Amino acid sequence: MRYGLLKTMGVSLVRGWLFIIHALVLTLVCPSCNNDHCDESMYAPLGLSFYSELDTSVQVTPPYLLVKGVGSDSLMSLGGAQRIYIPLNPNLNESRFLWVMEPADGAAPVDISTDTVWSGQKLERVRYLLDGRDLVLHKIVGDAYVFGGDSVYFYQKGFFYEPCQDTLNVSYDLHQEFLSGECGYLTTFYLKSLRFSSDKVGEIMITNRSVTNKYNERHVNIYLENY
Amino acid sequence: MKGMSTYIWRITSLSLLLSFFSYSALATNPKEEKEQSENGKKTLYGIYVDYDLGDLLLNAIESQRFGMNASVELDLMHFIYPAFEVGFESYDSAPDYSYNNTSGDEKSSGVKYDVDGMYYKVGANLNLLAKDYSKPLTPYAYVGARYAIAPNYKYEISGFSTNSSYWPGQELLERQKGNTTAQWAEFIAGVSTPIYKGLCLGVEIRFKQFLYIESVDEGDFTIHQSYVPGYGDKDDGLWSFRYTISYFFR
Repeated sequence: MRYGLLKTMGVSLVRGWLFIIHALVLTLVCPSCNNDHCDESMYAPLGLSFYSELDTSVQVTPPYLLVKGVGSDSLMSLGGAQRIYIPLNPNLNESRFLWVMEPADGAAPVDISTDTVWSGQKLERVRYLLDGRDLVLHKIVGDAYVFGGDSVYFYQKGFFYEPCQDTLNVSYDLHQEFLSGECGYLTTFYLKSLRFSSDKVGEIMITNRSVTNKYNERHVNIYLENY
Repeated sequence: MKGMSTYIWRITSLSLLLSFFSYSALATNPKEEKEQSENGKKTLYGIYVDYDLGDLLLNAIESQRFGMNASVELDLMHFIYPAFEVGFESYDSAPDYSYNNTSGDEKSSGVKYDVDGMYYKVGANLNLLAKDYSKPLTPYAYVGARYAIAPNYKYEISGFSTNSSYWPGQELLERQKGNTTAQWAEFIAGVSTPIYKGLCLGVEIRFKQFLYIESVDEGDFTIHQSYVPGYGDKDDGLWSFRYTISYFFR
């Protein structure tokens, strides 16, 4: 009787242990599948497509295009593409971009002279002079020389050229979408207006006011003058 | 993620299969089988009251989570087991927030995404094993389904900022707080066996699918829920496990 009870309990305990062992294995495996990183694209850029102002059905490719957010230190070299994407500022209702491109009808040469400053036998720096005043070189991006005060000149075949330079002003409403604890908020934008400060670059048409993180989204057509 | 799911599925299948054969080997007795008959078949054999041990383990492993879950199942004819589950879960998934960290391993501090609330599930299990109607309590392997709802559960989000790698500065976004509702379905496969008198242990795997999850629009904010009490992480919670200790009341 006693032996029978012990045997029954023994079998029961073996059953229980099997469960516990399997349960532990599964429990240890399970937390490792937790996703603790963000899988969503958190980038909602403004998509700009280029068209010819002369024939508005023809897409064109500006060979040189530099875009720099006013307030940001990053200069984006975006030439050689029919469509570009630029990041809007999620902290403000407006973004301003310095827009530098080669004019289609040829760039005007600029009389920037160079001089070298030596320290003994070692070249210390190159001076750039425009009308007798020093230009402080910040960086060189391709053929573009970016000087202090956001002035940019192209350098080709031994000469500096003045590019077509303008400021693109984009105003929009901000919308914050909470996606998950891992991703946080995605900022999306509702475009209100886009305009260049002058009419040097071309005409603008907004085709889609909603700027989200969807892949390949298009928002604005720019009809470039003389392209 | 798909690869990981396959891996988990294989381990689980193997585990359940091992369990099933173990129980069969231990529980099958030719004499007992012969004694099985339709005589003495009852409509209601008893009631199981389950507690999910998995919640206890997860609470110990994940400091940002607290949950508990219990259920009641009726044993009708050793075949169908109508079930009602109730649970509570609170979770702060913000410690996982790493979007703005460049190192990848560093976790952000000061952010909060708290979710907490009750959830309820109703459904039934069907016993797939041969029935021994003469015994009130027998091992059973089952498949089942549940309709689940987390009604009006609370969420609170704070400490998150706007992010841009291009533009300098960050704007701290205002705190969002509210209630929302989610519904989902669960498909279950599991086993349960008595270990001593009315005390039983069980393990089951659940496949979950959302039916409805409410997003909240408030002014310039839209809140999508990524964690639901009783479901888990929306992207990772497709599969879950439940390890139960239960008592059978005749």
